[in-house]
Amino acid sequence: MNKYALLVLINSPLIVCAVLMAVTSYKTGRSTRRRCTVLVVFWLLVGIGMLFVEPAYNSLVRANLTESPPLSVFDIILLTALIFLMLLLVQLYDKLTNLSRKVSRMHEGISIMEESKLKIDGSVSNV
Amino acid sequence: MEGSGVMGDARRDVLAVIIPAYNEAGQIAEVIRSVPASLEVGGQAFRTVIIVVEDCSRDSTYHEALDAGAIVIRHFMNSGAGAATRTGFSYVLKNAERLNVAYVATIDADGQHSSDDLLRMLQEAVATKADLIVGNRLHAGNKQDMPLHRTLGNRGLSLISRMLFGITTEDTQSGLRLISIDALPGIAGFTIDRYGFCTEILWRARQRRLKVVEVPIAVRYSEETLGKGQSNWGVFDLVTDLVALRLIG
Repeated sequence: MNKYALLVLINSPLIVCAVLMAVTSYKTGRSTRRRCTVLVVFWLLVGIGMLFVEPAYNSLVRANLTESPPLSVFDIILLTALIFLMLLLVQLYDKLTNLSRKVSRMHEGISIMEESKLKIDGSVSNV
Repeated sequence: MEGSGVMGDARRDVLAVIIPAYNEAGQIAEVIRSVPASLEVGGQAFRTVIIVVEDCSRDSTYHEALDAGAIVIRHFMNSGAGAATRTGFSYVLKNAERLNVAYVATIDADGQHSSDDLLRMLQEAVATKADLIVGNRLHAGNKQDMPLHRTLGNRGLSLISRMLFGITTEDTQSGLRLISIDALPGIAGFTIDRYGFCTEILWRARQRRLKVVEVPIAVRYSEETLGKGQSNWGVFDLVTDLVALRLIG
């Protein structure tokens, strides 16, 4: 089997998954439209780049611009691992951002609640 | 969005002044007392309510602010100037009806702003029906009072804000601003916890097509004030926050 086809075959489900995750995140209100657009464009570029790896490599070799050996099975594993790690990284970043916003909102709410409690207790009468 | 149209609305006659404060003992009481109890604009008197958001200071800022008669909201962990301002905005939004808030102002806790400027900004807001008034420190009149490195830093940050977000405001980092209560919900949801929030507020105002007006203000720098403010790493943080906001929202 053509190694380039194998590369696309293995990685396309990951890219489809990444695009779906970005859209789902936006549709469920966990992410902004801008972020969704940026992520979808990014993953589509990765996918398109992968489709054109073979013609790009061939034209570089023809023009004597590279002497690197053709794609090996190890390269395919390495690229797949890299894309999988990127997917994890984006997901972790999303989770961290959402968590940080939740903590921030909670902190804000508790601080305001504490101020109101002080007023009810009668310790402060400054309004 | 329509202007606030506060004039003539007798029910809304309060100017809520939010002061985010961190380690400002010795200054905060003076800043609170410098804000007049009421400001008169075009025959309408606006009462002021001062809300200090104390950002988990290590000194006696909290007690000094309480003793000076402000409403004091205390953060139990240090979160940054942006987070403190957002807490102040949330408090105002939650209590806007009860307090009859017409306008919200933010001022720095280090005493660099003057209450005369607050009055001028309120006058401008009422006269122009602007949604957001920003105090501009970078005008020719302040050349003597603002150190060169501060001027260059602030101008640089304004330039970056312009390149990233298309904000044309001359002084994007000014801590003195005034917002109409009608415009506040569209602005109060900013996400940056640190100093980048100043630019994010302007960006959100621009996205919502709010009317933004700049008013030249005076600035008073003391040795204490100059010792605080942004470190170089703080500026780097600020720029990375802005770039991240622009790229991934």
